Amino acid sequence: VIRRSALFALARAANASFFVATSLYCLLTYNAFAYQQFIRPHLISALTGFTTWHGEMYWVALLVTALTLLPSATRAATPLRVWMYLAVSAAIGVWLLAAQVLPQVENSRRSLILALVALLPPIWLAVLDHGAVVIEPVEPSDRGRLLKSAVIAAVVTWAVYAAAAPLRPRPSGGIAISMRELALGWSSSASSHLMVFVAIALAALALREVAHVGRSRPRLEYGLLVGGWAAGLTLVVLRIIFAPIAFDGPAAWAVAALAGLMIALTWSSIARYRYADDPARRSTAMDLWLAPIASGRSRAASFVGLLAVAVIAGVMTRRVAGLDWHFMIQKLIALVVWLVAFGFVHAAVNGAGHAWSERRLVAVPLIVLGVYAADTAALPRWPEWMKAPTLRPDFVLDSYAAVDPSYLLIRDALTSDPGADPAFYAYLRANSTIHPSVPVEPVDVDFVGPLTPAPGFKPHIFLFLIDSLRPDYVSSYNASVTFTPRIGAFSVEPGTFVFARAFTRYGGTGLSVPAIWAGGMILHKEYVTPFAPMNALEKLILRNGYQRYITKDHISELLTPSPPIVWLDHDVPEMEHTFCGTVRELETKLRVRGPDAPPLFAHTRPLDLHVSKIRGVAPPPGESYPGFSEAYAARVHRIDACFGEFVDSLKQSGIYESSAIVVMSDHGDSLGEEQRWGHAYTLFPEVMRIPLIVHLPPMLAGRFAADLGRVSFSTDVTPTLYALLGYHPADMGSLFGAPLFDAPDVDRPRRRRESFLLASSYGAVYGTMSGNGRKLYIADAINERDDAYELNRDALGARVGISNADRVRNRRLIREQVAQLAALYRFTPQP
Amino acid sequence: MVIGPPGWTRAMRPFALLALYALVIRGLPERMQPAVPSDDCAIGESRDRGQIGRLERCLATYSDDVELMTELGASYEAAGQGDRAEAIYRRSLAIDPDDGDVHLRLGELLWRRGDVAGAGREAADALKLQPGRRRVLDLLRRTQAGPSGAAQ
Repeated sequence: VIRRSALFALARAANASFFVATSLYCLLTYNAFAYQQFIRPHLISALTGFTTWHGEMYWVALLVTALTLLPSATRAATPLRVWMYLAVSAAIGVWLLAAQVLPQVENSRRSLILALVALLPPIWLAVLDHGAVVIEPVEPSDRGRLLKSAVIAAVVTWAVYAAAAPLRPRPSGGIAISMRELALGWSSSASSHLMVFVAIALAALALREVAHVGRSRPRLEYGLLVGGWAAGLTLVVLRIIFAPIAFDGPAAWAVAALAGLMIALTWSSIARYRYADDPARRSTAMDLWLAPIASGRSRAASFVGLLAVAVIAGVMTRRVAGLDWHFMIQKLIALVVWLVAFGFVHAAVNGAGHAWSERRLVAVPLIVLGVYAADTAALPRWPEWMKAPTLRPDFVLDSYAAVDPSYLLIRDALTSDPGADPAFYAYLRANSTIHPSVPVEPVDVDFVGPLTPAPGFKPHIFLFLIDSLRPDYVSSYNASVTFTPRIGAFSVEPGTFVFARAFTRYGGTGLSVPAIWAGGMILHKEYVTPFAPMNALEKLILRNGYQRYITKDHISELLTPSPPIVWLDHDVPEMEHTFCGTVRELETKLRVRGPDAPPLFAHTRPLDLHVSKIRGVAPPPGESYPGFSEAYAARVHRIDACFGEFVDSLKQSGIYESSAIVVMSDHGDSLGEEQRWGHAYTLFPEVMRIPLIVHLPPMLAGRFAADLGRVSFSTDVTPTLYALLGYHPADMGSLFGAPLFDAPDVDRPRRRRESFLLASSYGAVYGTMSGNGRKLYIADAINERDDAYELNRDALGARVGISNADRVRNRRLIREQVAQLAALYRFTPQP
Repeated sequence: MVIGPPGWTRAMRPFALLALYALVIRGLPERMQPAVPSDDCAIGESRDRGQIGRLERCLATYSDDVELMTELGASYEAAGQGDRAEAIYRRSLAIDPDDGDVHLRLGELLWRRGDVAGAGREAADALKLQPGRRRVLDLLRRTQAGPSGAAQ
């Protein structure tokens, strides 16, 4: 039999979830990068469905809520305020249906206001609930029971995640953790969990003691718990959700605080409903507060609950891992597990008759702290104990944290980078993800002075940007790849050049593609418009009378529409753009070109390899790619076949002999390395490395020399095309690209020695590439930590330590180049 | 269990413990990081050929750093230490055989030292990595012309 109170509690949870989802959608729309990368291309189909049916879903939520309120409304004491709530809610519902509000939300201040307003109805409802269901705690929380529960819950949570850690799948490229390293991870995780859980219990105890100074006030204690919960949630929302999506400042604080308050009050409403069936039950403040999890004290029920939590957490963590935003959802799941584990354990631990002495109440926290301190202080000795002098305990713990999101949550919160520089990170944040409402004028990016049409030969140009393609999945770069025979054959044709040390300037499409067009780095804003003054590639193409065949997507909308573009994939949803589909359409369109047609410029960015198309997808029957990410490799194989067919068709039509063909990607991707998937806001080696293969027509191939071992960047493509058409592109410094091909007697040793700025598209994460593409330094202003990689032997790089000199030099370089970019755009960052 | 109302002294106890926790947590992470030598081993635009000692120290720390090796090789060459330069170039190529620049440097060094066959091999390898580059083609032509070319 389901109790009526349980149904009411469920209704409140559903109602709050609906409004949280609405607020979150509006926030994603307000956030420039999320709007450009998630909302506009309809990356997540569930979001599209949510906006489409939002009005109807609102009415369902309201109907359910009304059913729970009507018994209260029929009572004489509270009709007006309840009826008022229902009347206002109904009016809003009519407005939502009539105005189709959510589908029309755009990247503007209005979306921020809606995000805030969407959190108000559940707060109003919670206030009504608190007036309707008067349940009060009658006893102060039991201190011993609280601490004991914290210790047991810590052990349970640790055990759940520790047991799952070795079972986490390690796809190709993943780093296997040895038993000794696992032992180190388990040890640190155990002491960290104990320390954090006891610290949280101490915080709850502190509130308890404040509430009961002088006399016993369980009601005040409960109120402080709700307030503390709201404050904690505010910090969680800010740190775990908003920071990774580059949403900060007063607006972020306002939304986070309102969201924290809303969840805490709704939680309190649910707690009251859970106790409503048995109002005479004596409860402590903590019992009442934990009632949404477990309202009884049955040990068996708690045990079953804990078991269910372990299974659900394991399954959910696995399922979301592939689509997570650099562990954000996995951390949130871990937080829920913490809370639920504590709730069940607290319900099961019966404190009566087992009161802890004052001495024990102090001794237990001190012992836990001592264990944590000893464990942490011992870390530097592990290499000696394990007889592994090269072992870096901090690297091992980072690797372990990747398979234990609960530990990762603690590690990220507590382990500060010893060289962390808040002012430096703040500077990076101030220069990143600049909101569209901030006015910035376009600047001219010109590689040559007055751009007159090139007098000589104009090759056809094919620029294939295969989203997320990694070089180690292409046989031209990795001899063990057998599934790209056509690209492999293309690579060894006369006139084809494979650039071995190629990198993207931006770890993400949003800024990477426009930067390729600009031939250099651009202001961290989506976008400075009109984009044409910065679009050096478009200037070259238009000035030389090229006919444009371009895939229509949310980024190509930045292009100048006139003269008309021959759009590819015009009616295909962006996430369905495939290499095969696009080149077949292109092939068809090229067939109808006349003999006197101008040179053509074709450009596409197929999304076959996007992480959303890879995770959870099995390769076609009969195909197997041992040692590789199977679904990804299968799709690369399909792209390869279509590429081969397309090259064949170019050869048959005679176009090939006069074509420059560029095969590259806008960025790489993580395919499970240390449980990382996709690219989010990260700059890991596998995200920054790209394939870069250029085929020149015979008329050009003999005129140029190339240094295939020199570091090259995605932003080199545009100056290269200038050089191929006979221009002499200016050296615009390390923020810009340089031609990949030079006259045979030209050396560019400086490019080998320079340090180049790299950046994430979607957050304040910057890096430098130096040592001719062998040293990657990352300054992560989101997580406030720096990392460094050597890219010598291993294609995916090896993490290395950072000396103070490295840190100082790289930060100076990053700061200088970010400042240089801001100065170029006359942008003044707001502190 | 009903516990009587506490006084301020007892009320402050959890706060004191929390403060102790905060102090310990803030103090510990610094000790976790093993020290990394702090020599500035960055290679700037200027060639510090006189800095052999510094580069050797850096290489002892960053034993796989090919750019450091190349720089050290150039410094050895400038100091007239051809044997050391050759050794360090070969060590560099053992780590990264696809560095055309090092093949060319080694080839030119071998050519100057009269190892025509060795220089030819390096020039051929360099040409695969730096197709069309004049310096590489020149070296290759000289090595193909034989020892007589070396004397020129």
